[in-house]
Order: sequence, then structure tokens, then C-alpha cells
Amino acid sequence: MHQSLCKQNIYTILMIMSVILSVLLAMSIGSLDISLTDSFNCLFSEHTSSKSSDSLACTIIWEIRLPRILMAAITGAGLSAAGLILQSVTRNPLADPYLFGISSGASLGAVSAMTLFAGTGITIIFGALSGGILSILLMLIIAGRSVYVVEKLLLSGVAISFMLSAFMSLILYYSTPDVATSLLFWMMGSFENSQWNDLLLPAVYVLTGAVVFFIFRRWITVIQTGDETALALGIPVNQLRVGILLVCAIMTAVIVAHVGGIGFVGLMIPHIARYWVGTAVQRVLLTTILLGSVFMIWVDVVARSLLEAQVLPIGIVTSAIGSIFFFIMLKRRK
Amino acid sequence: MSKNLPDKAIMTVDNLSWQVDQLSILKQISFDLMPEEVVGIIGPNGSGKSSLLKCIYRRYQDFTGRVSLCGKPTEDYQQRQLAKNLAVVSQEPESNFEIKTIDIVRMGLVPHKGLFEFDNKNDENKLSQALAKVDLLNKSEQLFSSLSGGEKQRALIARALVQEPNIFLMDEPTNHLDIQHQIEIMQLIRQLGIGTIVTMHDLNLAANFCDRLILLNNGEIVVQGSIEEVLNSEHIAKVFEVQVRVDKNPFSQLPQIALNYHQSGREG
Repeated sequence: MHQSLCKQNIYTILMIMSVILSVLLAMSIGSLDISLTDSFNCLFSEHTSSKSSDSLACTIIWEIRLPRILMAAITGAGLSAAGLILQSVTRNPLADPYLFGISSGASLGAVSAMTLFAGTGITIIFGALSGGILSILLMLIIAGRSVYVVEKLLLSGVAISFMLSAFMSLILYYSTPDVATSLLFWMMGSFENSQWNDLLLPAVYVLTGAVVFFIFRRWITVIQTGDETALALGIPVNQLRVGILLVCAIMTAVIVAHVGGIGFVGLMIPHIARYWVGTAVQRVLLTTILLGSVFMIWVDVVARSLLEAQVLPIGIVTSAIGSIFFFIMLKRRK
Repeated sequence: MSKNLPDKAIMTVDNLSWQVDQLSILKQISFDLMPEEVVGIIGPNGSGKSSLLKCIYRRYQDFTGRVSLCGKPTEDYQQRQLAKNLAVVSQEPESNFEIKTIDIVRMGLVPHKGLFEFDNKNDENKLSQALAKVDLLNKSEQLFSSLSGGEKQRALIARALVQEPNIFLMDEPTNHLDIQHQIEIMQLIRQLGIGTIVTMHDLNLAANFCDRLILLNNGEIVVQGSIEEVLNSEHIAKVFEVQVRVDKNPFSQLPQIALNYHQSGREG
């Protein structure tokens, strides 16, 4: 028991160090080469250096790279945590915010806000939130009394996902070419426009969600083994499942509103984390969050440095890596 | 196997009936459970054994009649309070996620821990003691799915022990186990000294390890009482529709059922 606890602590420390190291390394990678030492100096000093080149480097780090790196970290953490918890409460290894239509709902809400109401900023966030929550409510309504049967809940979620995606395609179809292009880019996800003042809301929601998941860690772990066991241990299974779905929906919607649709992270990161530290939520939650952050930071680095003078949409990179991961996982699965 | 039991019932089932869509699943079931007593529920498939257990721990709540624990109706207990008094050991369904044995056993802490509480040294000791009691201490870090059938049952019993209940409800704990492990699990249940209701299919095993038996058929109690009262050829032939001869087990002197495996049809 103690040996396992020790191993878990080592993983956690390693992961925290990896997050810090990833942030530092990612700061120095980009179209303008900035040495690690310069990045480090910029980070811990006021960027008011007399040398104009230093000043430019520090401005790039403080105003462009750091906000987007932190947004990537928050996004990776949030989507991975939501995926882990959705997989646990539905006992389905394929569950993630996409499967339930949460991402589709949030995207539809955001796209509607952008096109129909010509919204920006807070309107998009409100639209994404409404869309995400609407998708969950629709799922619960359609599932009706079957909401307590996980399989039917999942199937309702899949149906909702397709329905909302169809609506989104309809909006795209009727948009002008310019709007359709920018919407398509937005839907593929990007950290390009992340600013310091964009970080607060996703950070607060992801942190709140993670705290909620941690509070209910024991109950969620039990639900993984079956509703019968959970009920026999005094856990209000149905209320917990619906509550957790809503928390995941809100978390995902806020993320989608800020960075667009990014798939596969919520699906694959929890699997890797479980492989390392086991299935119990109390062990795997923190590892998933940290691993998700590291992964997304490096996806962003790849997206902005793979092609010269061009930034790839994040969704393309995560989906490409995600599908390769999936093939490996299927191969390993007995 | 019978012993001197205290006469105050820790659980009373009074006139319990349960139906689903006009179909009666359980009809007017009444019985008591004494402290440290092991009561076996036997009967053919579909006779209502598992449903009865589920009504007792309020998995099904829309039954009529009353189940009382220590004199208090179960409907007056919050589900979590109920879980502190009643531990359920049933077949664990296959999970899509691999989980360590220690984490399965740790689940027994759930009814006792607040959402904001962390596991402490005392909890870790409880887990170690429960694992030691079922002889699985050396397998605590192994995946639950890698354990043998008997070990899995012992791990589930360890989880139930961590719940520190007054009553065990066990749904066919010896299912799919070989005879050695069947005996091992039943001996363990006896050693625990906790009032237990156990559903069983193996009548000879029930005869040797239960204090009393309840024979169910079509949701009704056909007969309940001592092993000798319940396990006679007339009752078994009538309920299971098989030809039997009831002898005495040469080791325990308790009833032993011999079946006629070559009977023609289901003529009793």
C-alpha cells in the first residue's frame, strides 16, 4: 500500500515538474527564436529592458506566448478531467465531452452567437454555455425515465451530438464564404488569440470543476464498478450522475467558447493516466489534469512550429495524435 | 452448526410483498434475523431470492410490508445510514476499467466518510485488517480482475467488513466457485460472526453452513425453519420438481440431498 502511495507521489511530482518545464520550454519556441536563458530572464524580470531586442522578446513572451501557453494548459486540464469523469460515471471508456454532444452544443451556441447575433467575447461565452447545458438537458429529456440506464443515456447523448452538429452545418451552409471560413477555423480550435484577460474564466471553471470532481472522488470511483454497488454503499447514483454531467457540460462549454472545438484530448489522456496510476479517481484525477496540461502545451508548440510561418489548428494536431494513440490502444487491448 | 443465539432480532421482515407491472414477485414474506445467525434463502431460479435481498437494502423501494433494522423501519434510514448497517456482497459486474483490489476494499469506507474527509491512518489499518481477515493482504496491489473467483469473493467480503455492518446480505457468494473455494467462502462467512442472509443454490452447502433456511418458490415462502424442517424430500421434490433422497451427511450428520439424475421428465 505504502509502495503504491510512494509511486503515485513520484508520478505527481514528476508531472508537476513536467508542467513547469513545458511552460518554460514552450516560451522559447516559436517563429522568433528566444533562448531559454532569455525566456527565463524575461519571466522573472520586468520587461522594461533598455535593449530593444530584449524588450521585443519579453513582449512576445509576456503578451503572446505565455497567455496562449497557459490557455493550452487550462484547456488540456479541463478537457482531460471532463473526459476522465465522464468515462467514470458512464463506465464507458469511449466517453468524452464530444460523445455526449456537450462540445457540439457549445460549438453550436458559440457559432450561433457569432453569426446570428454577431456576438463577440461574452456573447460567445454565453452562447457556448447555453449550448453546452442545452445539449445535456436535451439528452436528459430525451432519455426520460431511461436516464438511469447508462447505455440509454449514452445513446441519447450520441443522437443529440449528431443533431446539434447538423444544425451547426446548416448555419455554416447559409453563412457567407468569409464567415464560413472563419467559423471552420474556430471550430478546429486555436489558442492564437488568447489574452491574459481571457484566462480567468476558463481557469476558474476548470479549477471549480476539478475541485467538485475531487470532492466526489470516492463516489465516482464506486460508480465505475456499477450502479448496484454504488446504491448498496449509500450513494445517490442518479443525482450524482446528472450533477456531474452538468459540471462537465459547463466546464467544456466555457473552454469551447474560448478556444473552439478540440477533440480526442478528453478521450485519450485519461487512458494514459489510468495506465500509469490506476483507476481510482483519487489517484488518477491529478495525474490526468497535469498530463492533459503538458500534452496540450506541446500540441500547441507543434501546431505553431510544424509549418513555417503558419499555425495549424489545434484540433487537427490533437485528432492526428489521438487517432494514432487509439490505434496503439486497440493493438494493446487484449 | 446451530448455536445459542440471543433472542432479540436484528432484522425483521414483515409481510413484504413486491410487484412489477401487476406481476407479483414477492408475496407476504416474513422472517427474522438474529445476531450472528446465518439464514440461507434457497429456491429455484426466479423464485425471488435476489429480489428479496434488493427489497431489504432498498434497491427496490416500492414494496409493501416492512423491513426493520434493530426495530427501526428501513424507510426511516437514509441510504447512507442503511449502508452502515447493511453490507451487500453480490457478484461484481465486469468493469471496463481495471481497478486494484485495495481500491475495491477501500470502497467500504464510503458510508463512513464525509465528502470532505481524507483517508487517515485508522482507515488504512481498517483496510489492512479486513484484507488480512480474508487472507488477501499480499494481493492488495493486484488488479481485481486478475484475482481468481474465490479471491474476488473474499475481496468483496473484505469490502463489506470495512463497512462495519450489523448485517451481511450475500447474493450467491459461492456461484461459479469450485468446491474447495465454496467451502472456504462459507467457512469465512461463519467465522465473521455477523448476522447474515445468504441466497444459495447448493442445498448441501446451505445445510452445512446455515443456521436456518427459508425455501422460496414463486415469490412465496414454502417453508422456513431448521435445516431438518426445510430440507426434506417432500419440500425439495415439490419446489424443484426433481426426485431426491435426503440422507445424513456422514461428517456433519446434517441432511444431505441425493438427486436422481436419470429421472424421466419433471415428475417429482
